[in-house]
Amino acid sequence: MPIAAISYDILPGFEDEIGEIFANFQRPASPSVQGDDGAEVAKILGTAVFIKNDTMVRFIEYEGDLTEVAKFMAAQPGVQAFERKIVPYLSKPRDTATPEGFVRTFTDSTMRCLTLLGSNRITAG
Amino acid sequence: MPYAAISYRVKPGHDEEIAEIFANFKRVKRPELHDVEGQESGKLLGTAVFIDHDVVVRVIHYSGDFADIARKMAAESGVHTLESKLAPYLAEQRDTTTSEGFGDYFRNATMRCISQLSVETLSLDKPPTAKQPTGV
Repeated sequence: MPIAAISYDILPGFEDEIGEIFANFQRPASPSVQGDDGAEVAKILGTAVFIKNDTMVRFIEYEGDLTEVAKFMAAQPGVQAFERKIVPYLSKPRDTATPEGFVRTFTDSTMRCLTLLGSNRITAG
Repeated sequence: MPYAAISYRVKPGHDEEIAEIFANFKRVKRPELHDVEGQESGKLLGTAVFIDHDVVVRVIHYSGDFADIARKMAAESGVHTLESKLAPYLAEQRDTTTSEGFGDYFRNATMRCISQLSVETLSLDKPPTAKQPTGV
């Protein structure tokens, strides 16, 4: 399954405070991302967030269309609350207050993928 | 199944050269992980590498013990080829030629995990099967 990486430029030294924000994260009720007609267009299989010094990265393992994943996340109350709470710890502001801004920021902060090896291919040797 | 991440700095402006190195990576032959006594202890389920400006991150999806990943990678010839090709582009040099050196690098580069959520921890109508190795 594809994995996307979204980077955040953060102030170093606030790992505990940022960890606290995530500890209270209200996760989406369902991992299924639906299009306007209600059909599933993407699915979020897992997310993980890591920090080292001034870099925070959110990895998203997903199926389907990544832009639909971004639109889905933009509409989640938990994600919106997180984006508000993270502001004091950002070294570079993110324009995520509106759904359009969120999707644009998401796209702009998507890291370039150099290689992706999934379990199927690893098993295939 | 947990994710782990490592990160390191590279000299900016060499995305294409670094991409080329990873494109030619000789992949590991088997996904199984082993403990110090050689017993199978887990599996590599997937990995991906990303770059943005001067930061490279690798995410590793695995089962078992993270410490066994460094030992496995240190023993892979493809990893050492990649390390030698990557060296000119690293912001900080690292000694990964020995298993001890590789282990040190891996520990130093490990990112702190702040949050992990997956479909496995959500109640779903059907059990998640997508993440299991299928052997095909």
